[in-house]
Amino acid sequence: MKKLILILSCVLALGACKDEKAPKASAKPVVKIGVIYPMSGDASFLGEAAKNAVNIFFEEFNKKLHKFDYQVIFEDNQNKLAKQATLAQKLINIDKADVLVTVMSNFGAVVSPMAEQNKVMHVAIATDPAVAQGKYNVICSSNPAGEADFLYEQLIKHGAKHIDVVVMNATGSQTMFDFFKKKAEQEKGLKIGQVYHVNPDEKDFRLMLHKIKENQPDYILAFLFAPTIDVFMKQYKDGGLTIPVTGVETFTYLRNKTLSEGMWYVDAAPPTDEYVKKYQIKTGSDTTDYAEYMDFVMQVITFGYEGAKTKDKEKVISFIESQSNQMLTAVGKITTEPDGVLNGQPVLKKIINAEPVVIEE
Amino acid sequence: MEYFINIGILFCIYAMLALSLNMVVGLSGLVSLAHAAFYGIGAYAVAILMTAQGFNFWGAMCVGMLLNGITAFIVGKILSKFKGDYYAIVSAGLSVIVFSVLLNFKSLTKGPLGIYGIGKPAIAGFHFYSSASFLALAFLFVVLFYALFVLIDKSSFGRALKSLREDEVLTVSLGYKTTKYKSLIFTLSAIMAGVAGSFFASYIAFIDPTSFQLAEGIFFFTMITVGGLSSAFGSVVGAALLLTLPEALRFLGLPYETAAQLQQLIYGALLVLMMAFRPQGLFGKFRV
Repeated sequence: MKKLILILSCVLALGACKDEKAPKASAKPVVKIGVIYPMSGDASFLGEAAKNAVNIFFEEFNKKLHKFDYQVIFEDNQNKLAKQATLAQKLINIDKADVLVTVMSNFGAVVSPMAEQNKVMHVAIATDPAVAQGKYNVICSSNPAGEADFLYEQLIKHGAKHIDVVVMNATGSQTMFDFFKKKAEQEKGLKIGQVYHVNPDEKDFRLMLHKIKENQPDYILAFLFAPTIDVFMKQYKDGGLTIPVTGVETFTYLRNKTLSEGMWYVDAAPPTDEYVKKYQIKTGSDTTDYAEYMDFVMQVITFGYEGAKTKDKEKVISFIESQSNQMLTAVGKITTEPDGVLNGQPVLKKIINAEPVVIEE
Repeated sequence: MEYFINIGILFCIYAMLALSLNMVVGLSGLVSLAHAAFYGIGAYAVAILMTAQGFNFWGAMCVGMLLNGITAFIVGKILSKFKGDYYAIVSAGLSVIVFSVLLNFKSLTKGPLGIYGIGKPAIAGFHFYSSASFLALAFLFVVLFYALFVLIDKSSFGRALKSLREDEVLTVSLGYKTTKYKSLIFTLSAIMAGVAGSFFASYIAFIDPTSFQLAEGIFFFTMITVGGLSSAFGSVVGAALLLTLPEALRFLGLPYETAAQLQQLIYGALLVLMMAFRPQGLFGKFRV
């Protein structure tokens, strides 16, 4: 018992006494960026991609002249809300971070009020505009409302009258579907038939696909993420369905793209070809796993600080909000909306020879 | 300082959960994995009633406690017919059901989108906006729960529970209605978990169903196993240890490329070592 308490005490003491990572001596003022991401567990691929994106971004950025030095501190939230709050407090109060970066709307929502209270800039990769509320919050968004509108227009253009929808019970897909539904209800040009809600861990869609086959809609709208979309499309093919599948980002992260050969979909401000190539060369990975959005975030932060020429957060955010539409990011050109919403531009893509090809911007 | 206050608040919330769960598992020997469900019901009651119905924190918390009490009483009646592993499986089932309801009953819970802007408690015009005041309030509840645990532990009710834990057949033969005792302690524990949920929702100001999955229930179970079953002090120590240990590991200065994975590896290894050297937990009086 005594030995055990001794071991535990040593670990705790070691942790508590360890000197903080001292910033390198530099003549330039340092901007500390605290990145809270899932680095372990199911969503750790996001954290890995984020680390790669930061390395790639600063490798190039540091070659240019700049007024500030940027120090990035990564923290693992283990995909837990309670951890997110603790880490935000650690980064604000212990590490004295100037900027916090978060991913996903629900995690951004936890940090958003803390950023306001502590007057710390918070840049979130999120779809929900509520995360951007307040003076200190900015979201880099894939523009779900714009994507939903664009998808609706494309469906009408492609002669769709009746659709069935499969939507995953996850924040991003639900937000997207809500925007789409709102648009369809306003325009009244499209009948939404059956809506199937699936839980993130569901793997068997055969009964659902059988029902869809019987309903014979013009299109199946699939608001699903990887790896669920892979399973869904495999069972779709095995079931012999011919009703086209579409949606937003539907096939972006589909590993076996031959399953969706010839189908079109709306992609959310995808990474530029240049970025994809750069990412592949640096990491050897075929997929960027949202790394482009971290590049987008880093660009926004450095653009704000370098442009505003000050560490005054209000001035930096004001500069970002007024000037960032001039930036060419890893997701192409962006638009700026009031209250700190920076949006990428959706595009229409088609899978041709198992590769996504932009057919309309 | 705010960081340590934040850890203090989370410690208080986890301590409430550990104390309440230890009443069922430690005092009564019932392996319940349903605690995340009651934690979730309490949190959602506060979130929904405060944001959509204009309730204050205390009113919403009381409704949550009542809801938990009713749910636990009904479920407890069913659960009390089971023992050992079966009890654990059925209680885990409840946790899965509640999680599914929170995720899919979108018109009420907003499903995966979660609920934003949950307010803070107030008493006679004093709002617990500052983290320090919130910590003081949460700590007060930990003290109350601790006192309740000790009171029950030393009472005839507690002795009956411990007798049930050691030998249910013998306890029945002595004239005790064990199903009533099982059901009562389960209900009381659920009400207390609801209070912890209310504090969590109010403190984080945003909740979604991911915080109330079965895995959370297993984490609470780990807290009391590490701290020690049937011990109020052990519950509190277990909560403190499992909360502060991973935080302390953040300051080890591990290379950032592998820091997250190494931290979890060390954390896991320490738990394995601890269970190997001290299977009854640090201050445990009973082993499942």
